[in-house]
Amino acid sequence: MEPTDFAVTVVKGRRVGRREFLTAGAAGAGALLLAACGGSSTSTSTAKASSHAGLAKGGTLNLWTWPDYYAPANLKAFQAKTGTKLNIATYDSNDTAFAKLNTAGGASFDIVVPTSDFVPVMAQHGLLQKLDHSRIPLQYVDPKLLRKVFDPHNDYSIPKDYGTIGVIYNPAVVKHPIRTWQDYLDAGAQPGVSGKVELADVPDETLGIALWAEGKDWNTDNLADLRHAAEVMKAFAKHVHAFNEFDVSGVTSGAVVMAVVTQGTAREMMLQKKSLKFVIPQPQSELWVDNYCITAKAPDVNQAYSFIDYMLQPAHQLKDCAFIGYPTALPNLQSKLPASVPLRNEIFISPADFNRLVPHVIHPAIQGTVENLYSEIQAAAA
Amino acid sequence: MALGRSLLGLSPLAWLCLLFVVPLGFTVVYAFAHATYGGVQIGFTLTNFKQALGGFYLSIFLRTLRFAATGTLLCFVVAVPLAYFIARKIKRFRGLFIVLLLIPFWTSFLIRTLAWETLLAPNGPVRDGLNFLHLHHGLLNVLDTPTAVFIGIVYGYLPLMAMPLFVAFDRIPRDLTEASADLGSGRLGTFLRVTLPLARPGVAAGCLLTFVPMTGEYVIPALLGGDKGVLMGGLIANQYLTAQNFALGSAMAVLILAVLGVFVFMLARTTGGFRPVPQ
Repeated sequence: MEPTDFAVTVVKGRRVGRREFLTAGAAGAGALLLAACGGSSTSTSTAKASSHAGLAKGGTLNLWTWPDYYAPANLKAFQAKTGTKLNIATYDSNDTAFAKLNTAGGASFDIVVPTSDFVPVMAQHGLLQKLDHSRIPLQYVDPKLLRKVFDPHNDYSIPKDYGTIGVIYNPAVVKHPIRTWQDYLDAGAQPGVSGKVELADVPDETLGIALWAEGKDWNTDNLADLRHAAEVMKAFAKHVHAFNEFDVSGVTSGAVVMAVVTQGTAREMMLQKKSLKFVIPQPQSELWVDNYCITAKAPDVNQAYSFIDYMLQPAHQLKDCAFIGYPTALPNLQSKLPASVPLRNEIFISPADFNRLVPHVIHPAIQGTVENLYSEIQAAAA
Repeated sequence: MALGRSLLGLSPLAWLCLLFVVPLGFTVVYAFAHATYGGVQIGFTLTNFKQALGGFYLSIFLRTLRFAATGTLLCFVVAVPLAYFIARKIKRFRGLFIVLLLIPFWTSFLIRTLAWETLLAPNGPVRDGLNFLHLHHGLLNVLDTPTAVFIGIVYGYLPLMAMPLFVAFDRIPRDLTEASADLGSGRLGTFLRVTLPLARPGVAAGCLLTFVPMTGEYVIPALLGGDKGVLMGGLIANQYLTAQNFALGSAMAVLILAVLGVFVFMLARTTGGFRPVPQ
């Protein structure tokens, strides 16, 4: 009776919310427009110079990645240009990605695209290989995304795209102004808002809200702090309508008036309902970065570098950005993205906000406890 | 000839051993092993079982049993009229009705559940229909509540309850129900005192086929129930998939297996449920 496919069992699990299976029609139209103004690619291709290796021809490449995470035009052009056959397998959560790589079944994958919090865990388990930076066009990667806590020397990961989480709300119903995470917790308890609030279905982010509200570091491995945060969220849980960070129909229909979502999901909701507001609450929030990594046992290393090189080219990053609705790693992306992409500014994070964002790191020793605390919060919501 | 037949008889046994008993053996071994993140160290420890019997898990287990019992009862209430109708009242197009009952069951379980998520959306088709009929107005507040979960559960598990009931009702000879009517019993009386007791094997089989899988159910509450309220299946899945604690997940699974095994055994003994009712 139960679906036995792991991808199915975690369809509401970590990070699936921001991996939209439906790209907004507007994003698709944006991609078409970018293809039309793809003339800019010629000027940058001559600037490639010698800081990276040429594209490898032929062979195959096995991608282990999130679904719908590359502009189809880019994938087609890559296969046409290099003759490399692309085999794409997808996962819906970082846990699935890790679990499969950790078994013999993951030996054939070349590239994996984990979120930042899983890069250290994968590296510690010997699942990733060290990257040769001379083969990667780092001039097309924004320095503000490099040398972060989860990979201080970018030994294992190269940023692909990034984002944050914040609060989207209907200002007509949520009269309490949302400036801090404590405001979110207080507003959720107000009549008219209680019972119409959503939390992300991600354990770390849920506990993180309580930790941020108290001004603590959400990367703490202090069990007392985590348990206290769980108690705060358990008390809040009775106001929760659902644990869902991608309930577009719920928020746009008005059944949900406040939710914790990524900025890309917020943009999708605002495209459908203009009156919604999105804010990244004080004092801190999450910076998540999805990264290109090459697996330790990758059979097609040359094709892997070739793919990363190709996808990091500015024109291709612009196409990816318009397709997935999240900012890719290109420097000065905001000024380069065409104005025709709808709500284009909602894709990006202001520099002031960006400096308040902190990436998360998984601590294997306490992850079991974190999961259990989250289960208790979910149980308290019922 | 005898050798050929026994070889043929051995292949299901071999299949059962390889694909069922061996993995189960792995689970039992893991349940006693030392847990690490993403793996196990084979050994012998009872820590996993102690954890699995901890306060929170025990309360979730009891809640899961309650949930499965409610779901089974709801399925039973819906399936009995359906199965009775097909078995006793439909003569010519009976095969068609059976096929109509089974075809959704053969399609993807997840797609059917997701379809309910679309149908029950706050501004979705069900709301439009109900508002049109003036039975409701405004947004539909069913999704992400227990109501939606039980709608999904009954919808998903109905064939499992209805088919054994259908077979059991079908086997009851008409002479007996006619005799009951001749002796002055009304239709409801005949049903309660003759038909239903004679269908006991079907009732037992149907209840078992729905109750046991329901104790492991967690996808429907996650999709239709807003992922609130944790059930045992979800806890075990979490241990394997997100906490990467295979040892604890295995210990929980072994415990549930033991409890349900005892339950099924007792059910079979007390109801005499699986022996065919003497005609």
